[in-house]
Amino acid sequence: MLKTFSTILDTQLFKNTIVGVILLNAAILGLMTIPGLDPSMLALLDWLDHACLVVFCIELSMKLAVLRLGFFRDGWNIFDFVVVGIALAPASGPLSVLRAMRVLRLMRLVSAFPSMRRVIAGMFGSIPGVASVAGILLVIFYVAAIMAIGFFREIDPEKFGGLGPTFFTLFQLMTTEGWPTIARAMMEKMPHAWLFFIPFIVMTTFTTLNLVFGIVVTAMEEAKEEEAREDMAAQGIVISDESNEVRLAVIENQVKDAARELESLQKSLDRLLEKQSIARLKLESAEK
Amino acid sequence: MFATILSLPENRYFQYTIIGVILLNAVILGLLTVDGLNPTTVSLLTTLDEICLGVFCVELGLKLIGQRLRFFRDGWNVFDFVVVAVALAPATGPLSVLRALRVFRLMRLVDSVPSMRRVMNGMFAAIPGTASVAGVLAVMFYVAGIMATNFFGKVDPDNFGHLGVSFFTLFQFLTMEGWPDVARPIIEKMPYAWMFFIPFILVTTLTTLNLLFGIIVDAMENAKEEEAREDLAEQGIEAPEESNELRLAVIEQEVRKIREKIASIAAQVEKA
Repeated sequence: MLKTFSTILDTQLFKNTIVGVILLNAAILGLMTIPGLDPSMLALLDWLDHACLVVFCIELSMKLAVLRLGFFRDGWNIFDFVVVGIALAPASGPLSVLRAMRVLRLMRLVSAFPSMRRVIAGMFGSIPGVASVAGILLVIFYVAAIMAIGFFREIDPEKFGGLGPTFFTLFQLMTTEGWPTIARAMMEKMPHAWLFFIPFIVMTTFTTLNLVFGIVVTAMEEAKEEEAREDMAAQGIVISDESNEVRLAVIENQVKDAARELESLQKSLDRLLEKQSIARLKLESAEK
Repeated sequence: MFATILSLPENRYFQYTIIGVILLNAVILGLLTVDGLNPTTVSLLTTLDEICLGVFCVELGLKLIGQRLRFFRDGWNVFDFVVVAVALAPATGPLSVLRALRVFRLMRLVDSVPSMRRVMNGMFAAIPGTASVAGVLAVMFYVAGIMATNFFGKVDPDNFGHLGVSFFTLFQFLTMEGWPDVARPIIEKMPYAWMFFIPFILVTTLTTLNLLFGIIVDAMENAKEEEAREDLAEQGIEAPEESNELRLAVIEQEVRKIREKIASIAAQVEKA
C-alpha cells in the first residue's frame, strides 16, 4: 500500500496533475474576485475550490504516510503543509484573516517546479551572508530615529512623534520618495536640518543597494554553483564544498608539494643511474 | 593581577558583555524618546544611561592603558573614543547639539560584531579606488551649482538663490525626487532651461551609479577575501596577498614545469 503510494507520488503524471490543479485553483480564486457574480456561479466556484483543496489534502496525506516524520525535514513540505492547513482552519471570528491567506496556496506553484525552487533556495542561502549588512542598516536606522525624534519632534510630531512614526518617515526618506517636502519643511525652522537628511539618505540608499546586491549576487552564484555541482555529479566528478579561495590555496600547496616530490624523485633517479653506470663499468672491466 | 585586568578587552566574554551593554544602552535611549514619561522613570533611565557610559569609559580606559599610543592607530578605536568622549563633553550652550550626538554611541555595535566590522572595513577599503569618480561628481556639482545660481537665481530664488540652496536643489535632482516640480516653472520663464536640467540629471545619475557600483562591488570582494583569509588562517594554510588571477597564472606555470620534469624523468628512465 505504502509502496504504491510512493510510486504514484514519484510519477511525472501525478506531479503534472498537481501542477494542473494548482493552476485551476488559481483561475478559480481569480474569478471569485470579480464583483457582482451571481450566487449560483459563486457557489459553483466555491465548490470547485473545495475540490482542489481536497486534492491537495489527499496528496499531502499520501506524502505524510510515506515519509512519516521525515516529511517535516524538508522546508518545502512544511510550507505546503502550512499553506494547505490554513485553508482547513475555521475562518470565522478572529481567524477571519486566514480566509484571505488561503490564496497563499497558489505559492505552491513555486515549490512544484525545481527551477523555481532553486531560485528561492538561492535567495534563502544568501541570507546569512547579508545578515551583517542588514544589521548595519538596522543600527543606522535606530540611531537616526532617536536623533530625528530629538531634533524634529516639536516641529512635526505627526512624522517624528515617536519611534514608530519616525521609522516610517525614515523608511520614506530611504526610498527617496517625497524627501524634499519633508526636508524643506524642517529646514524652514532649522536651517541646518540638511546636515541630518542628506547624510542619512546617502548612507541608507548606499547600504540598501549593498544589501540588495549582496542578496542577488550571492543567490545567483549559489544557483550557478548548485547547477555546476549537479553537472559535475552527472559526470562523476566529486567537488568539495570549500570556497574557491580555500580550494585555490589547497591547489597551490599541492603543486608546491608535487614539485618538491618530483625534485627528490629526480635525485633518487640520478643516484640510481649513477649506481647503474658504476655497476656497468665494473662489469665491463671484469669482463675484460 | 594588573596584567589580567589589562588583557580583559581581549577576553571573549568581556567583549560579549560590552555588546550586551551597547544593546541595553540602545533600549534605554529608545525608551527615553517616549513622550510623557513620568520624571522618576526619566531619572532612572538617565542613571542607567550614565552607568552604561561608565562601563564604556572603563573599557576604553583599559584599552588605552594597555595599548598606549598604539590605541589610536586603529581607526575603530578612534571612532569609539570620539563617540564616548562626545557624551562626556558638557552639553550646554552652543554644545547642546552634542546631546543629540550621544546616540552615535550605539554605532559601536557595528565595530563590536566582527562580521559587521568586516563589511564596514570592506567599504572603507573600497573608497580610495572610487575617489576619482567621487572627485568627478564633486567637480560637476560645483560647476553646475555656480551655473544654476547664475542662470536661475533671479527666476527662482527659493531654489537657486545662493550656492548653498543650489547645491541642495541639485542634490534633489540627483535623487530625481520631484525634479519636474522645480524645472517646469523655470522652463516656463526660460524655455531653454531644459538644456541645463536634463543633461545634469543624465550625467550625475550615471556618475553616481558608477560610484555606487564601484564601491559596492569592491567592498563585497574585499569582505569576501578577508573572510577567506581568516578561514585559511584557521586551517593553518598560508595565503599569499597576490590577486587570484596572478596566483592562477603561477599555478599554471608551475604545473607546466612539473609536467616537463615528469617528461624528462620518463625519458631518462626509458633510456636506462
